Amino acid sequence: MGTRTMPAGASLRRQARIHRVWLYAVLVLGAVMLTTPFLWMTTSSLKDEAHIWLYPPQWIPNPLHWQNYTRAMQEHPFHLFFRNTLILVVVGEIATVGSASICGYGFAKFRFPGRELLFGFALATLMLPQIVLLIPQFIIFRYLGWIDTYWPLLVPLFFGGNAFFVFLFRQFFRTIPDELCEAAKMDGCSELGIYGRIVLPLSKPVLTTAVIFTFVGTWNDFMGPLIYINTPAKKTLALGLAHFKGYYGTQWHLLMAASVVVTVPVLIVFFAAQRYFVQGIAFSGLKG
Amino acid sequence: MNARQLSRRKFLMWSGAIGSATLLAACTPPAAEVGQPAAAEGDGADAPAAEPVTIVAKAWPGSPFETESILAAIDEFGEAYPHYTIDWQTEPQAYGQKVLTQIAAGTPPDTMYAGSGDFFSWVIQGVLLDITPYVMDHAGFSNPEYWTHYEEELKRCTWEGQWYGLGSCWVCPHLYTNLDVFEAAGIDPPSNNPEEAWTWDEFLTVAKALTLDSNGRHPDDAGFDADNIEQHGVQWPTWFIPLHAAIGSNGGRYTAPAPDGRFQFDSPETMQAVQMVADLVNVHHVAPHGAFFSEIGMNNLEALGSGRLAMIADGSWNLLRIQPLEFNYGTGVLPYMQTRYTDIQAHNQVMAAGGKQPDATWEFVAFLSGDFYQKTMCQGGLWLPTHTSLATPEGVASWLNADVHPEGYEMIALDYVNQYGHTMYMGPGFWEANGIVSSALDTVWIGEAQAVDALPAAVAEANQVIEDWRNRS
Amino acid sequence: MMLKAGGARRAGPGHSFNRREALWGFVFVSPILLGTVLWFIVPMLAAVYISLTDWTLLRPPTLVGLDNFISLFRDRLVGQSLKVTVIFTVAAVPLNLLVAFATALLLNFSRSRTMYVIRVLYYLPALVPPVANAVLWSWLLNSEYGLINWLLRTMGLPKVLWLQDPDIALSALIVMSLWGFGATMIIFLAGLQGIPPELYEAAKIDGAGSRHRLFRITIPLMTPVIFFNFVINMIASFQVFTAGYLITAGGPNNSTLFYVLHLYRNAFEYLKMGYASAMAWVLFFIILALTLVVFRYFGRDVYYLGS
Repeated sequence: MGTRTMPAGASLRRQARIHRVWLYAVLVLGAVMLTTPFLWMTTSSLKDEAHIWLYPPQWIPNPLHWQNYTRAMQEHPFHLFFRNTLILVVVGEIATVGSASICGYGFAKFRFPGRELLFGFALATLMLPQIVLLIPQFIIFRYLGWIDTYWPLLVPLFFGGNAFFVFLFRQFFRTIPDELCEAAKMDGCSELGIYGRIVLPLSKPVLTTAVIFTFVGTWNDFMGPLIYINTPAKKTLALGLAHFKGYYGTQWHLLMAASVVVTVPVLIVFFAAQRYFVQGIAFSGLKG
Repeated sequence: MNARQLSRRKFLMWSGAIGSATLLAACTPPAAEVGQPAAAEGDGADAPAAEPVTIVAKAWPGSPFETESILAAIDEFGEAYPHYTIDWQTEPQAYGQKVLTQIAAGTPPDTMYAGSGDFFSWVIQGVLLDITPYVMDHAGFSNPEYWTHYEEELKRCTWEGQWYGLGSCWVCPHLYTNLDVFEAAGIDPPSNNPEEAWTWDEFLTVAKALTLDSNGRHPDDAGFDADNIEQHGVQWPTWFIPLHAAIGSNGGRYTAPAPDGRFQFDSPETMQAVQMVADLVNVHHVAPHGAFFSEIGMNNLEALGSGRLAMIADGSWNLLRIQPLEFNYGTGVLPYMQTRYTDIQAHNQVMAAGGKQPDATWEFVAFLSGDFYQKTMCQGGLWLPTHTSLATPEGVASWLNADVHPEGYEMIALDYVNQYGHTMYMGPGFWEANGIVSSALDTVWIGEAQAVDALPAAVAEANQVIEDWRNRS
Repeated sequence: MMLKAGGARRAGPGHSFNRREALWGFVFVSPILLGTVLWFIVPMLAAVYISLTDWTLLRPPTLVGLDNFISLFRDRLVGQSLKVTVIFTVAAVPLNLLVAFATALLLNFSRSRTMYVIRVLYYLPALVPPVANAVLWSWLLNSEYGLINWLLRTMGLPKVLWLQDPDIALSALIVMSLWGFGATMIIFLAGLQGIPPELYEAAKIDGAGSRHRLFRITIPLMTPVIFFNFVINMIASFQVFTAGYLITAGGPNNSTLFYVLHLYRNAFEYLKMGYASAMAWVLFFIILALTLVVFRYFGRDVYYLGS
């Protein structure tokens, strides 16, 4: 490449500018491709049933059927689905983030016999296919009388949530200097106090990351509620969407409208918190 | 409309209350919750009439209209039985499987739909209550004259002489047409009179005349472009109901009658019928590829309405969905290969074997199987009648609805169904075996294999599954 | 950095464990240890028992010995579903990693506001609820009325039977799965941003070209992250379920019958709990073996390069 021999100056800057234009062009093209299905979902949500099937496809709906949104929300008890999802999300967040951060802290900042082994053991559960556990877990929950309740979806989360999050927290906590904890200890802080008052406030990025992952995961979870929830009034949004797929054909326009409504909150949460999101995944100590 | 809207809102609020109540109950020890349905109600027989009863009914969801009709009908029931509360729950995803897991979990609904493909399997697995005593005690149901097609009624509701469910209605596949397309081509649409049914050749000729590529050519014209077809003459879905109708019309069978249930797709008549349906797409180019239409809930009705299809062979229940599309549609009986034939079936209304309040539940089941309810569902176009009282001229007038049913539709609803309609036996293991045969058929539908090559091995494998199921139960 | 980041306090070779600290450590990690026993080990042991029975859930189980494992080896669909799953994994995982890594590199060039917006757009498909995603794609891929075939047609290309042709359907699902690469990309991005900028500055001063910087700095430093993403994606793709369940129902001609879908059907559609549990065990051993192989052959390199 010739650039190396060139003096830093106008031509180099020009070249950088051209590079940048190309970079953005590629990225924008990719973004367009990736968002096309979503755009189609949005435009379809504003069409009446007949216009959805126009061929060639119509990109800008005419007329705009805003009433699809009100109809979709009234057709099925979406306020219940919303409330149920919210319950699962809030309790799930507390359980997952709370217990995973505590466990992650334990693995990151304490020395005890068998620590690495136990950590590896916990991580290994990630490799266990969920489906392997599905049947026995279903049967266990059935014995407990927990079918058609939220317990099967929530109780396990209080036990470290998910090993992935324990891992995430451990990685992040390891980047926090020990000296800080030591200093706090000198000031008479208890172990829980150090965790709650020193470590957690420093861990906004990883907390945000865990919160978002949990939020998206719970919000869109299909399999769990599909298996454990029977009563329609207890269903979640992700499952409720299937109500527009009737046995005699799908109400596409309403399904699309409802899908937009269900997607937007996730989008907002992600958008609002994504600045921390990337910082929260610390890989400095991955190998260990 | 407004009243219905209100009643629905009431329903939702009420089910919300139940939901939160159960949620609260979920905080008490689990054992209490499992026992809840029992605790809520003593034995229905001993309970005085005023004692409140809650019936949990499970169904798959139909269209919004259907839900409204159901809720309106339930309101009607509530007038006669004010102490009843009906919790009507719908399950859009994997219905049969959800009901079974609910039963396995020890919390069965009181009453539910049993799809024709699940019914016998559920009976044999001991999931359903033998309702013979109730049926025999009922002046209407016990009388063969009550039913328009008693012979088929017995076939679909009884097992070893005992009743395990009540047939809700009949539904059958028939032709739907876009009359404007026929008129533009100057072709007479098919008749609703079974005696005037097209032969398969006549049908194929019409389908060709109604198929156009982007240059306006027909399939037999020179230079026809099969990759750019603007308008297809027909669509014949390939799931079990329309397929059974085609097979039966060629003198073949889908499955052997009860209690055998083995697949008979390897008979020459059946394989020939399958091939003729596949050829509509791959040889004659009069039908679109569309094995997945029904699977994904994509509707061919819209394509019919927009004129991209001239005809479809589809279930009678779709009258309910086609009417709001506001185009000039017609109906007709199916064409036949050897003999006039259509598939008839529908869900049975059944009661769970472990139900805590069978007597109370029966009152509601009897209402759902009564004239008023059937008439209501027929009016919207969803159901075809099974009660003789709705087949008399006055009876027909009470449900035939000029807004929905094309002229002469009663010939399909009565003559076609009762003279040429046949149920099909689907026993334990049907779905698993059907999956094997359907997979083999996938290659036939796209023209990669001939029916005679693909089917025999698959049928042997499918029948092994049926055999295994028989040994298990 | 003024303060040194580190692992455990007072950690040093030869030191015996501080009893108080060890106790606190156990207290802190006890939830996950308990959870592992309760929600993993106990169910796994239960699954062993179930796999030795014939059980519909509707009647008491009957012990059948190893029958389930024997018929498993005779089940043509088990072989087929394993094949489908392996093909999917072999194709989708590297593709996903490659695209995600390349995109992360591009997104890492600048930290402007525009980049933040683009980043969200790339993550968007991962946020769409599965049911919506499934219907959307079944429409996009529909042979007669779908957007993709419409595009092909406007370009004068023949239509493709994306979901009806057994030779094509799996590829269609592989391409579709690529849409969700956002999650992998985010983790790559995090890794990239953890590389100290000084390293690049130093390389620049030494006159290293961009290719050199990529292959000598970025990729070696990223191996732990690549490895992590690889393992996570591999495990996930062995468990792919929703696409086959909601879009193709395993068809056409079982060409998208993923192992987990076949297992799910046996368990919850055919109520063969014993058989399905046997299938689950087989899958577990396959994944275990693969993971061990991966760690054995790649894990060591990662260790050295990462340190």
